[in-house]
Amino acid sequence: MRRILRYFRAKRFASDLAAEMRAHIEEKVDELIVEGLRPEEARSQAMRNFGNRMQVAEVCREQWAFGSLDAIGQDLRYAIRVLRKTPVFTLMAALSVALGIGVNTILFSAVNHVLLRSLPYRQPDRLFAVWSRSVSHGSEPMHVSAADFYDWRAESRSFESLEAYASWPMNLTNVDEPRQLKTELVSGGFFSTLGVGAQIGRTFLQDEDREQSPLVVVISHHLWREMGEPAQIVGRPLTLNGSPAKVIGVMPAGFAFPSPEVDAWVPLSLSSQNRSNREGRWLAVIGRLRESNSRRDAATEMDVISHRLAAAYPVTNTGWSTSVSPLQDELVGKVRPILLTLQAGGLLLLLIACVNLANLLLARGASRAREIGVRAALGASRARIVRQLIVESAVLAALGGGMGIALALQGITLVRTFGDGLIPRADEIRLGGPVVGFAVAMTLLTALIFGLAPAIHASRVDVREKIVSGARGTPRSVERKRGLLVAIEVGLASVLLVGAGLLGESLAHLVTMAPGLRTDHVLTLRLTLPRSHYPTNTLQNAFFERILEGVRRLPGVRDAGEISDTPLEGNNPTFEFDLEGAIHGPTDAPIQAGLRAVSPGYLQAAGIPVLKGRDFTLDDRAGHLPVAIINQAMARRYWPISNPVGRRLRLKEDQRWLAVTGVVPDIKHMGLKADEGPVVYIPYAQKTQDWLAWTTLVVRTAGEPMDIVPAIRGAIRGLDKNQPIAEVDTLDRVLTRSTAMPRFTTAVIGAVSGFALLIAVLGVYGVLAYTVAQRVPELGIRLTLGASPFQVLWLLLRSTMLRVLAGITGGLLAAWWLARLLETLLFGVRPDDPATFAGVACILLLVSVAAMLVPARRAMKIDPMTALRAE
Amino acid sequence: MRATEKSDLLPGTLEMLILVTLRRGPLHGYAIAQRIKQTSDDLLHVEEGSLYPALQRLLIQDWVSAVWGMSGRNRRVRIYTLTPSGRKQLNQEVKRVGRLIDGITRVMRPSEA
Repeated sequence: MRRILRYFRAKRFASDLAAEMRAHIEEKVDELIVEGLRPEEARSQAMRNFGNRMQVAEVCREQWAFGSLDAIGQDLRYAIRVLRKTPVFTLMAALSVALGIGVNTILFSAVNHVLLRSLPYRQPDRLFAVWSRSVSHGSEPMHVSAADFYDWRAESRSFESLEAYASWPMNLTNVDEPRQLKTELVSGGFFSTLGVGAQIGRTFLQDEDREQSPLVVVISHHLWREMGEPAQIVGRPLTLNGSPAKVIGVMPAGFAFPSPEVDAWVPLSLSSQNRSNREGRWLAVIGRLRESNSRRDAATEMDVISHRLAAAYPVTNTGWSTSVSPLQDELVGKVRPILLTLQAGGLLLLLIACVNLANLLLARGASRAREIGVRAALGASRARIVRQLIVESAVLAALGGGMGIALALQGITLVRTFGDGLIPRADEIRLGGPVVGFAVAMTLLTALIFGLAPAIHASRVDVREKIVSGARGTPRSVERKRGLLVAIEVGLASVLLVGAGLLGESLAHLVTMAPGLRTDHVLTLRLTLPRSHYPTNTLQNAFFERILEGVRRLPGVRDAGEISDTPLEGNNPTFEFDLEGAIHGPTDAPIQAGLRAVSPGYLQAAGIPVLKGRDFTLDDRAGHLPVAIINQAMARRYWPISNPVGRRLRLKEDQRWLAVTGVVPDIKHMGLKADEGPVVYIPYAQKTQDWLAWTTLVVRTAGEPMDIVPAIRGAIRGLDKNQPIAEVDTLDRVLTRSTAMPRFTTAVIGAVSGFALLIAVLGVYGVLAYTVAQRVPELGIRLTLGASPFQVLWLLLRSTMLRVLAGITGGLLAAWWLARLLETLLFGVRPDDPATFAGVACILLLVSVAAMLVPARRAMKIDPMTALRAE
Repeated sequence: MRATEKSDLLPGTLEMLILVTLRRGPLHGYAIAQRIKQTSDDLLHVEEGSLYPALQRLLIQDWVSAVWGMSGRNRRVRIYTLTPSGRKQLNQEVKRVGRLIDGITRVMRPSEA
């Protein structure tokens, strides 16, 4: 307050002080005249004795502290004037800040909304995911059997509630265009455990998941919108999988659990037989922890329960335990390393931009030394000069920061579009308060980093020397500092380039992986039969066969087949098997293999060759000898030396012996990164699992696969007008999608490193060009005295080259140390891959040399006489 | 000896000299400088470049107050007066400097101690 009052008194203060000092001098003049000096002599002596009145006034003003507000306004105006005088420099500098701030703001918006912000549920930190796991399955989190779930729920005390859910697509048929809905089966307390209510109507009651309860549905906001946002939605009848159901509520727009694609939630009403099934592990479980319990309490308790269950049900539960992990980790854990890597890359880029700017400002400071010297001589204090230069940097940073935020505004929409389906919670990403706060904080920090050092340096000039000598050369200290900054730039750039190189190589490894099948010209689409219409294997299989016959007759279809799980997508249900003749002790881990039902012709349509034996035929049907085809992994593991064709294996679930009729190669069923492990194919016509009422139709076409969709839709409609098709796609696109995340990561890091390289190279160029310009006279002398142009060239390049080399060495060491953090994102390449490191070193060296050649050529063209005359 | 170089004078000494000078009555800036010069028998020259900032510091601390008045030569000048809080501060300063000089004296003549 006092400060502000003083500010208003500032004007009077200035005139008071001036009048007072004038009076002082007059008094002195009078006195000197009395002492016998002539008036003009007296005056000049009085003035001389008084010294610099301006400086005294300045010191006094600063003591009153109202000077600072005033002076900053002045500094600001001056800064803007100075920056406008060099528009190219200003624009380049602001753009590099804008790039750094923009990229980081975009990435932080994702980090903030995906990783940092808690889930939009009631007390989200109390929500946990509970999985089964078993050493025989590599201790990976696995789904939970219904019987285990109900036992957990009955026995656990540390959880307030435990709820189960499972994806279960259903066909919606009482509409013009039958369609498959992405439905989730959820236990009664699912919504109340999450603590999210319906926007319209209500969610499920605790006992609405009983077997006899009438079927009720909660629909998603987007499904409601697709239905035309009817106000009277509650009570509307829907026919789901042929059964009548009633809508009881609509969820709010942001609700996206377990995924944003879910269309509707249906109670998990299991028959008592299904409830006591301990074999089929298919449920996901979440729990809300009691206030009084910690995660460790829950984990300990769940371990006790698992042990008890293993003792009580040794056949199904031996070796099975549980894992309890925060729900947020569960949802976003996979993208955490990716987003953090990208953010780290972004920050490195910003740092490079800062160092580069510091470098430019140092050079600028050196050429402005005279101006600063004059200002110092006129009485500007050192603090004042530092402040002036910092204000200049701040204006630059603010300009860049503003442009950066504008850039981020565009970029965030891009990330949301790109990230849709790739990054969980992508729809939540926006430019909110915390993100803008981050951008502003980064801008300030940037200004400080790139502005402070050059400002302090510039203010340390020797006033007298600057003015007297006319200051042509650059002090060695500036060159040393700039050299150091260039080394840092090159070092940071090499860290980024190594990261980009490793990720790029991983991606190259990934996309050149042979998927094991021919993905071109293949259409895939998914059919899920309602059990109400197709309750038995016979009915299901008959329908599947008729569809195949119909589709094969369509013009443009080369081959067609069916498989229970779409290849390359990742679903790989595994079952336990016995092998005939194998000595298998009761304590040995059971033989696990993926099980897929396929139709005859599937292998042909997917382009999978039969290596040994034969493909399934129409004769392999119910009532005939049960047969199986195995993949090479299975053959190698269990029949390493003998021919498996003709051997028998038993599916534990139905105790049937299957005769192996053929061996096929392994394919990348779960995506390119993983091997599929042992797999057993059985013919659809011989399946005994009536729950397996779905199939993926795989159609190899002569022309563009998507063109044939209407014809296929028509063919299926002709067989059953209520049967929808879903997930229509081409195998090429499925393949592309499976590498979308690594491509996204590599693209971002690649772009960031590209910019970093550009900035670093400009830095190298700038320093050498400046040195050459400064040393023209000296080089002229050397040439005159007989130095050869090459000696001069070497003289110039040596120090810059040494700095670049030092930067590369330091950068590669740092990268070697940091690359381990990337390990989880790498595929087929080690984090210390020597080729990548060598490649990065070569690229940086080559590019640096190229950048140095331009100024070096100028140096070699110096005409000694002209250079000397300029002196 | 010139009492102008900041390093020559102990910090706060100039302020104390001004306060002492003002104890005998209100004075304007030039007169303060002259008085210090006279009373120190020309040993201390207060340079204007230091005097005015020092006076401003004293104003900020409220140890002196300033009003516009007339000088002996009938010139409009600012006349500084010691305030009660300035008097209190001066007493403390005098004690402090007394102790300091006492200490320095003992160190300079260790044989007599």
